Amino acid sequence: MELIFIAGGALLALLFLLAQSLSKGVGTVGGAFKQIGLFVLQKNPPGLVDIFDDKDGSGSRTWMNFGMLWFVFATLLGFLLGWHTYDPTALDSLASVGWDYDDGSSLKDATLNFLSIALLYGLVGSGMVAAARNGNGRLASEANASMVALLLSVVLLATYILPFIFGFLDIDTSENPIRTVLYSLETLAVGLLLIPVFINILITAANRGEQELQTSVWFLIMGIAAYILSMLYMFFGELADATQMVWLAERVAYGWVPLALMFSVGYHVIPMTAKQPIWSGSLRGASMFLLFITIPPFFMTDASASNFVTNLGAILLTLGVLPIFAASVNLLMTASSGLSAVVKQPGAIAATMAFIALPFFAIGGYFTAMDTFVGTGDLGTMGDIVNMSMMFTVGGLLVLAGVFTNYPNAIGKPLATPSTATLATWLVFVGGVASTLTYLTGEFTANAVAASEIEDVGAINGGFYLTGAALFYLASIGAILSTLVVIRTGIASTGRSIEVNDASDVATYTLTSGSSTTIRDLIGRGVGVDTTLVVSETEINEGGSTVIAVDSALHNDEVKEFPTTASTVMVEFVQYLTNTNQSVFELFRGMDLDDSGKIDSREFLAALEASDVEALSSLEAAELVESMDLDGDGELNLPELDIAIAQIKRDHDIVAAQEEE
Amino acid sequence: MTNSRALPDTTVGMGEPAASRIVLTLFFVGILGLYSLFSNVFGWDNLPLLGEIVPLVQNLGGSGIWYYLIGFLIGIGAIVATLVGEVLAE
Repeated sequence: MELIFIAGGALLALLFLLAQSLSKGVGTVGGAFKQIGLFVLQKNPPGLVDIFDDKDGSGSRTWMNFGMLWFVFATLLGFLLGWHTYDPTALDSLASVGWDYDDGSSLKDATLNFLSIALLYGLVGSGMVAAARNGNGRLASEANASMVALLLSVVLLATYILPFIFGFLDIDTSENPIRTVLYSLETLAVGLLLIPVFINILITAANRGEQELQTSVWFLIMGIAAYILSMLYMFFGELADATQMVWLAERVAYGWVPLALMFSVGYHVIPMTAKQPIWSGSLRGASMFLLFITIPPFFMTDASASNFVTNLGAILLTLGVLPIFAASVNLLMTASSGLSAVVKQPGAIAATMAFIALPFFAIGGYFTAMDTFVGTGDLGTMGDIVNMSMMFTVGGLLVLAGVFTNYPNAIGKPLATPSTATLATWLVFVGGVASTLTYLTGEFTANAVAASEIEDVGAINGGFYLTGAALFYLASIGAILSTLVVIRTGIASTGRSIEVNDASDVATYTLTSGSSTTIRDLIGRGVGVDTTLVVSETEINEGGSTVIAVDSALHNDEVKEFPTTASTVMVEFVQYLTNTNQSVFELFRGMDLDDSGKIDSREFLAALEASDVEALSSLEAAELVESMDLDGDGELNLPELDIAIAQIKRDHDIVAAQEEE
Repeated sequence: MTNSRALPDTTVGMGEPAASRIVLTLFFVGILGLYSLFSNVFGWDNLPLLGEIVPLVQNLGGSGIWYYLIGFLIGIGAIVATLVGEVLAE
């Protein structure tokens, strides 16, 4: 049996086991495992992890900061790569300071390397925020996440600095076996560094308990797991000179992983901004499971395998387009159902643009990949253009989508200069797409002239590359502007924008003696600046919740009847709440996914789905929230939820199932 | 019913979004870029290179790429300046 079947089988089996474990939530992760994981994250390496900030959101923030910096330098290299094809001598004047980029292949490798790192940082950092919001609002260890982000950059920079150091020692790192050893060690180090990230996100997700994982977090965990495995495969494959194992690892690292991380951001940003559930469950399922059993149509290399393996690979490659189409259509339809909200958010605009462009890149990638895999390989340069441009355009846009949406969430501040963020998004989109089309037109021209078989004639397509590089420059400006927006957002002294209403329905709010809370939480519970705060003795009911005294004005005629279709659902929901012995406060904390102190219809729908009661449409959920929303702000605060539940309990004589027996 | 001959009142927009000045700058630089592209792509090549304008960088500025790289330098400089400026302001 060929090695690729054994290696592929083992890889699929591991990922299948992980996917199965994740499908029902990760709440069953044993307490002992969780404690060991936390110990590993918070105490190792001793001393080093303690110097990093463990504040909520600091870990994901560090990842996104690194992502933006790497992205700026990646776009610089991308621009140089385009110009180099037009004029390879453009930077020869730097030869005196050691600049040397051979025939351009080193420049191409460096560009891809920088870009891959930028996407890894940006997409994982954004995914960390999604995982934290679906857990208890923070990563298991924010400090560990920051430490790994720094170490990862150190390792990756070392791969560029080491050759210079070895050069001083007259050791040529471009020759085997030193080159192989260095490359293997780099892949091993990256793989090992991602293990604590994997554990961190897994424990964070486990805080959600038995509730089903959000799709975005599922993609994030699967993507990181696949990346770790691919790095280990590359390490052992290189050492054992097992080319098929390395080939497989490359498909995972450059195909599955970027797409999984891109889907992770898309499935988080678009439904959240559009305030709509994901459009289709079957398309979502197709994008989840087909991605990891097919071959993505990007970065294909010759497998040098038997006919049988090659033909099987070609079929899997063809099927590999399907999850891309499924995810793109699903997310675009989701975006279209809440378009008015999407167009106002730069992050959501970027994500929507990315999923408009992705299917076109997939088609281009499919033809060039098939040509490399089973064809003549004549489209090699075109394949390089499609692959690199896909990463820059789609990947870059999704980095921006994640950063513009989740960076403010991570640090609790509004996005600075959203108009600049929107402009940066357009620049990356236009620059990426226009330069791709220009480069491809140049290659088509060269191929057409070559195919004419007229002797001694060659197309001079340098002008296309010059124009393409100039157009790509727009994407570079977009990256710089985005980084400026991120810096201003992170450092600006403006705090979290909380809408404080002078007029509040809550006249008096009773604080329990000995407990603690924050102004933000109080505002989330409907307290206004004129509300009287009363500190009382501890008064605990069965659920241990704080007793809240609210003004009698709340119990007025404005309380609306619940919609007919939804009332039975609410009764079921309250019955579930009573059976599980949760206090209203615990329920509220669990429902408030974004920790805003208020529950919108999307969060309410997610809570209903998680409690196994009858499913509602997003419209019905919105109506239900509206019926309980006493102050008319479109969201539920704690007193409003408390009142609604008390009313249902009273009207339907709801008691716990055990008591009933 | 006939068309109304009176135009409705309009609001004179004096808003200044953060992106507006960037757009203006980009347009200005962009049209210079178009001139540069025309010169290079169609072969007249009459745009003076940086080394011809500034004798100090005679060797370094021997290609049109340096106009673009100046933009990168300004951009990265702006990132560093913003970082330092905002930290100091804090």
